[in-house]
This record gives sequence, structure tokens and C-alpha cells, in this order.
Amino acid sequence: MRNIPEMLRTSLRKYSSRSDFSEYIIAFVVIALAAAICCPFRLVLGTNSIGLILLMVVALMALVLGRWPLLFAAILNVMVWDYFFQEPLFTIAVHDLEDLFANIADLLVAVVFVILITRVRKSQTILRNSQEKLTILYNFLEFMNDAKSISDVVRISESGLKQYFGQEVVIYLKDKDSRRLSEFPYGNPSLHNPAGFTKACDLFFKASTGNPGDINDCAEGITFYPLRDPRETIGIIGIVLSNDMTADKDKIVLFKSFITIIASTLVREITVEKDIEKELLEHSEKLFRAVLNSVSHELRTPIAIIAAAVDNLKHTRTSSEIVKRDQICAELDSASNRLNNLVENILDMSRIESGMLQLNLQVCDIADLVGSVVLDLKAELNHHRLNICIPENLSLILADISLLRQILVNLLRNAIMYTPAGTTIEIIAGNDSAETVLVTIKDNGPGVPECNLEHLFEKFYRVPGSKSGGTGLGLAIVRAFVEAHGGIIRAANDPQGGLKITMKFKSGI
Amino acid sequence: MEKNKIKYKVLIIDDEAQIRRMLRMTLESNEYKVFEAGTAKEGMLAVTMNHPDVILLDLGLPDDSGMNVLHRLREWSAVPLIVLTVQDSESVMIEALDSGADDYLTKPFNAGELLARIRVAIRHSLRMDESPVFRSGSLEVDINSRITKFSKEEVKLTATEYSLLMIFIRNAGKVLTHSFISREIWSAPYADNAQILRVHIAQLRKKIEHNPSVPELLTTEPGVGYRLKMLPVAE
Repeated sequence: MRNIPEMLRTSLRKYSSRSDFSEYIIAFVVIALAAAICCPFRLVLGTNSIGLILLMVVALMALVLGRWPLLFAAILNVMVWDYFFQEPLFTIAVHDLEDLFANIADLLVAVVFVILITRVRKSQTILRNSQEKLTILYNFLEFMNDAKSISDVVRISESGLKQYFGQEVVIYLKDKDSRRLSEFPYGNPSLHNPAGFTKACDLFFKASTGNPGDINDCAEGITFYPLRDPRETIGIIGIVLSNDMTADKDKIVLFKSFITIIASTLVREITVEKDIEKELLEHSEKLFRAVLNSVSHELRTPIAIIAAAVDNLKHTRTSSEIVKRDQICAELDSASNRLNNLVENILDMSRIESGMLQLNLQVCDIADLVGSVVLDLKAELNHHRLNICIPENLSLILADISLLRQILVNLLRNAIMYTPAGTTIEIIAGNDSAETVLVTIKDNGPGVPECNLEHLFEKFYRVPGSKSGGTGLGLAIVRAFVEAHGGIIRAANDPQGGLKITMKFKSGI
Repeated sequence: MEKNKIKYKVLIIDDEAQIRRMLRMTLESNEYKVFEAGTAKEGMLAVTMNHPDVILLDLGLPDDSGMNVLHRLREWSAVPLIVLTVQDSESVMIEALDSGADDYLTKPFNAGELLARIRVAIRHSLRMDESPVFRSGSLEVDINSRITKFSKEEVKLTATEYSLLMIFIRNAGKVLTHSFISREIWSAPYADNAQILRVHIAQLRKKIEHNPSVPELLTTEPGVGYRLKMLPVAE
């Protein structure tokens, strides 16, 4: 961001009307010098020519001097001409009518000249002033446009006002939830005092109850102005007005323009903040509903199965038949497994969400781990063919074994769940480079539509149309665990069909 | 399933009454005599009073940590002890095993697994397997003649592989931590031998497993160690 004080300083070079004493001296000295130079040539040039020369000197001075010193120079010019160059010399007295006429003409020309020059200059000054004012406001606006938050706005207004008006400010904003002014001051906290705050509140009340006029109020030397846009009052700004400012009408006008800019930018930022909040709220509500839907379904299903199985077991006629009893037991078994998996996933997710995930890193042999995971999932893998392809020289990696195990379990369970029975699931690992190890789980199922691939690892996301069961947590956990190890995970559809999930880990001990 | 002529006594130290009830049901129907304790204090008392043959110890007790119970117990008793935990944290398991626990089970576990572990623990404590031939699955090792057969065919083992296999056979069915194995073979800490041990295990698996990439006999307990499983003898 550009340096605000620097920018404002350059644009704030104030025009000064240099009508101080030194200009009178300059006028005097220049005329005296001109007269002194002309003196020896009095007889050669003639009185009238010297008068014209002196007039020219005045005209030249008009380019640099102010209005009153110029007028002084004009009068001095006539007097010097009369005194030193017109007969009788060294008197102001005028003898003939011609001289009188020349003197009056000289004076008149000089005065008219001065008046014209000053008028031109004045309009120039006004033009320049308004241009400068525009530049200041423009720069200020530009800085305000860069503001990305309420505190940004306050910071920029503070430094802008301080730079231009040399005054500290205090800003009170409307409380987000109530209709009152928040007691928390922005800007310079030393300007915050109870009396001032009470005044600010009063003014805020007055402004927000539809008082449309140009109002302000004063307490403890601080003048308060409402910050508002056409619809509402959003706060109060307090500033210590110096005498210099109260006297200068232009500055007050400029100050009010500043306030308008600050107010409208604040309104913009407040609206943006509200929008973001609303969006977040909507998002979390949606997420909460999704969680509730999927988790409650997933929790209730196995519980319902268990309850029904128990009822059946109680029934002596059912339970006495060995085949039926075995069936019921198998159902109980799978229901409790399902419940356990769900609880594990929810616990893992809450560990991730709470930021309590701590890695217990140790040397880990992927081939070994894959073997033990496959053995654990043997029953679930019954209906699929499994193809393990891991080279013997696979580098060891440094990992948290239980997390890495959970990664493999979740990926394999997903592959089992979403691919038809009889298809092949492949586990492929390899040394990608000297420093990285690639682990790929590839199934031969229907794959995932390209447009859904990027959402696959999002929490509670389920591919539209996928079969019921599952919470949308498994892959989110996998990604979080992989990333906790500094690894990368990608999902892609294999050109030969099936979903391919590839993970890249740093190798080495 | 072998019938226990003498009723072995099992002490359950767990604060969950429901778990105790279910375990009691399982164990009693398998001819074990069951004692229960709900706290560490009660548990210590029950050990002295009832002289159990096996203890099942839950690590999360209300009055004291199960790990402390284990430490205090091992000061004066060598009774086989199986640790029950809820969350599988390898470091806790290794600590328990290194502190003298015979084995561990993570909840939820199934009854078959539990009974197998109890049988192994009792057999080891009573030195019941003095048989000169070890059999599990398709593996058959004649300890006297040092002949190893897999699927009825003799396999050649190197000296290290054989001593490794012997350690597993002596502790058949029990989980062995990496550091235990490393100490037994090389009398050195595991950290120095991690890579070598891994290679030897892989070599051994190639000779005694049907599918070395998914071992079923010499299995991995991720992060903890290895276990030589007691499988039904293959015909």
C-alpha cells in the first residue's frame, strides 16, 4: 500500500498569499534601484521615457508580488517619478498641467494594471485550490477503495484526517446487534471520555431519529459529527477542531467531504461483513443439517438392526433354528462393526477439527502395514479381487502408524463399498523419486463424474446418486491425515475405468 | 475346542458393569471361573484373595490408571495379564507390554480373539507346550531335529531366520514388540536394527506364508510388533 501521509503531503501544498512585510521592502528597493539607475540618463532619455521605464518596472513586479505591495509600488512609482525626475526637481509640487496629467495617467495605468493582475491571479488561486481539494479527495477516495475491513477504513481515515487537518479523531460505530452506539472507540483512545461519549450518543440518537440537517455537537473540545449515508446513521466521528480550521470555511467544507467518504466506505464495509456473516451462517446451517441427516441415519440404522435382532433372538421359535440364529448373529456382527466404524470416523474427525491431531511419528513400512490392514478387512474384501503391487525396495516413511492405517482402511472400505462385487481393487506403491513414495488405491468401479472429483475430499460431501450408507467423512479424514503428514492426495478417473486415489508421502527416516 | 478339566480362574478389572457381565457370560460358557473388580483397589485385593490364572485389566479405571496397577502387580506377581484398551495408541500398548503385560486387546474385540489370547497366556504361564513339534496352519517345526516344513515341504532357513522363528515359537500366539525381538536376537535396542529386522521378517514370510504380502501366520501388529498366530493345523 502506498504511503498515505506522503501522498497527501504532496497534494496538500497549500497556497499562501505572501502579503507580508518583506514584499513591501522588495517593492521599495526595486523602485529605488530603478530610479537610481535612471538618474544619470535623465537628460538623455527625457522625463516621459523614464516614467515609462518605471511603469515597466512596476509591471514586471506584478508577476511576483501580492496585491497590496503592488499598489504600494504603483503609488511609490508615481511619487518617485514626480519627485526625482519632473521639474521642479525634489518637490512633489506639479507645475504644469501636462505633468499633472502624466502623473494621474501613470497612477491610473499602474492601479488598473494591479487590479487586473490580482483579479487574474485570484481566479487562478481559486482554480488551483479547488483542484487541490479535488486531488486530496480523490487520493483519499482511492485509499478508501483499498480498504478491506472496517478497521482498515478507520485506520485510513485516521491517518488522512491527521495528515490534512493535523488533528486526532475518535470514531464510535453503531453496535452490530443493538441500535445503540458501541462504547468501543476506534481511532485515538485518549479522545475517548465519558462526557464525550454521552454527547456522541445524544448526537447519534438525534441523527438516527431522522434529523436530516447538518448537525454537530461539542464536548470537552471535541466536535462530533454523525457518519451517515442517506438510509442510516452508522456512527459518530469526533475531532478536535483547531482555530485555524474553524476560521477557514474551505477547510470545513473539505472536512465534511471527508466525513461523507468515510461514512459511505464504512457502510460498504459493514454491508460486506454482514453478507459474509450471513453466508457463513447459511453454510454452517447447511453443513449442520447434512451432518444431522447423514450421521443420524448412519447411527440409527445399525441400532435398528441390533434391536430387531435382539427381538428375533428373544423369539424362541426363531432362535431355536440354528440357520436363522446364525443369520441373526451375522447381522448383529455387521451392525456393531458398522457402528464402530462410524464412531471411529466421528472421533477422528473431531480430533482433526479440534486441532488436537498430534503425530506420533515412527518408521513405517508400507508393505507391512498394507498386509495387516488387508488381513483385518479380510471379511469385507471377500467379494472383491485384490491385487497388491509393492516393490521390495520401497522406501520406509516416517509416519503415524495408526493414522496411516486409518487412511488405508478408509480408502479400501470406500473401494469395497462403491464398486460392484467381483471387480478388482489394486494397491500400488512405489518410489516416486529419491524423496517421495507414491501409494495408489485403484478400483475398477464406475468411477466418479469429473465435476464431482474436486469435492470428493470435502467434509460430508457425498457424490450425488451414490448408494446410501456412509457419512461423507471417510475421505475428508483421509485427506486431513495425509496432509498432516505433509503429503498430497489426488483423485482421478483411470482412463481404463475406475477411481484412482494417489497419495504422495515424503520418504526417508 | 479343548475342554478345561480344571476350571481356570479369570479376574476382570473393568469399571463398566455391562462389559464385565458380557465377559463373564463368554468366559463362564467356556468353562472359566470368573471374578470381577470395578476399581483398581478392588482389583489388587481380588488378585491377593482369589489367585487368578489370568487377569483382564482395563487401562481406564476410575480410581487409578491401569498402568499403575500393572506396575504394582508386577512387583510381586507374574500372573498372566491381558490389557484391554479403548483407543489404539501404540505407545500405550508398547509401554504396557514392556511393563510386563502378556498381551493386549483393543475394544471392541470379539469373543474368539479374547479366548485365544487367554488360552495362549495360560499355556505360557504353565509351560504347557513342551511338545517337540510346533504346528500352526501349514507350518510345522520339529524343534529337536531343527527341521522346518511348510505345506509338508521342507524349507531351508538361515541361522538368523531360524532363531527368529524360535523366538516366535517360544512365544506363540503372543505379540512381541520390536524391541523385545531385537534384544533377544542382537542384545541391542530396536532403533539400531529396525531395517535388518524388517528384512529378516520379510525373508521368513517368503518361506512360511502362502501370500507374503498379506501374511496370515506371522502377522504385523502395526506400530507394536509381530505375532506368530496359532492357526488350526492344515490337513
